[in-house]
Amino acid sequence: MVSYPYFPGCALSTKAKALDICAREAMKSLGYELKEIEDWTCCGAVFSLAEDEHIRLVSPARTIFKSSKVSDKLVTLCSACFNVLRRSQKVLKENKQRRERVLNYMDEEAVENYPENLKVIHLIEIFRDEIGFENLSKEIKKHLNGLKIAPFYDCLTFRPPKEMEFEDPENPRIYSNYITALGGEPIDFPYRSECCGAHISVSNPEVSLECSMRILNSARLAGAEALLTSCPLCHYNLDARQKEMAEKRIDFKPMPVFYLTQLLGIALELPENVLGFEKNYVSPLPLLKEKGLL
Amino acid sequence: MKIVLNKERLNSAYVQTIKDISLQKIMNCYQCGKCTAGCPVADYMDIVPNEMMRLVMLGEIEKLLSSKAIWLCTSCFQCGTRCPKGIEVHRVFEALRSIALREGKNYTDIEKLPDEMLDEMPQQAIIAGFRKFESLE
Repeated sequence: MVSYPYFPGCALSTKAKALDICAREAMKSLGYELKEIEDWTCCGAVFSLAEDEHIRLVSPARTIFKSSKVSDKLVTLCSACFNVLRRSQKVLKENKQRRERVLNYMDEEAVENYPENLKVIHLIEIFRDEIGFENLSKEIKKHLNGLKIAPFYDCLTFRPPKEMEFEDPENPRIYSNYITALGGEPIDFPYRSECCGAHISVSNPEVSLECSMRILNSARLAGAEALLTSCPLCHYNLDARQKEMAEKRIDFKPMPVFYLTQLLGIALELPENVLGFEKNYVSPLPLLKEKGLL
Repeated sequence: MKIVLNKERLNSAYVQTIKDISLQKIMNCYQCGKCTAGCPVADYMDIVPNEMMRLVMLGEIEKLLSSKAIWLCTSCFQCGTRCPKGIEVHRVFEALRSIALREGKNYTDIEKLPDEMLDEMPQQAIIAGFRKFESLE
């Protein structure tokens, strides 16, 4: 069984458990193992954009060093962790001066053997590049026939493109191809890569509510029945806050928001307790039953 | 709005700090406005991203430090991604926030955040909020 070191992160260990558990169980049923790295610490949630804040790179550097003992790849799934770890590793690889400063805060072993060539990858890169969407399609047990899903391309996975080196954020296809591989119907929509309002929900919740509402309305107008995301924060803004949207707009219609791995879980017929739909604010169960998928 | 241009203002310690923290070539901005056009929260800002760039050029940093705009930025990186001059506008926003926070001017107060919000929000949001809106001190 191929095993990858895996960094779940804080949100996936608590509020976004469904994203995590579906990933582990789905990978298991595909013949892979996501092995949680030992003693990981929070990535810091946001990549520091201030060039003089070297200390912010220490936690990512420690996580990356730990995972390098078992592999030259580190898998993560939360958009924020992916953004922070991938960008930090790029700085640590390319900026010798900053790397040396960060290594001052690490064990001697890490100073001598910092894994510059370790690659931080998103789980979906395993599906795309190692398993391949075509092969993934052959593995699934239940096609998501007729399910119209709008793929939401969160900011943190795709931007800034020069640092993330992932996919063109102006024309992303990866989630669309993933939905197609699972037998669903991807629905492109104008606001597919617009920001949900992110962490300003902490300080200016009314503004992020508007941002998220625009996205859901745009998806609905394009004909989507559900939304797909890989980011716990987008999920909070787009799913849990539909309660406030319904209070604000009399014509607002709720729309289920799936985590990336929940969809794969349905397609692989994972048990309901693994799919964890009870944590979704807008239950996807009525939609799934209507489509004969549960 | 009356702006007085002088050498001291254009090369103030604030302007230098912004350049040092952001590493951006502020003077390259030619005011095309693509940053503002792509900004998801520009509608709610008192000073929109291209205006912010102009004010940094002119050394009007105090105006920016007391603006609401720097705290509304969601760090979605759209502005920097679309800038035809390759300026990472989001880093200039971060530099302004950093200056304010390092002067002890916090935007939020952890103790005043409603419990219900903290219960529901993913950790990622709470930590990001503390990182962006509260000082290290």
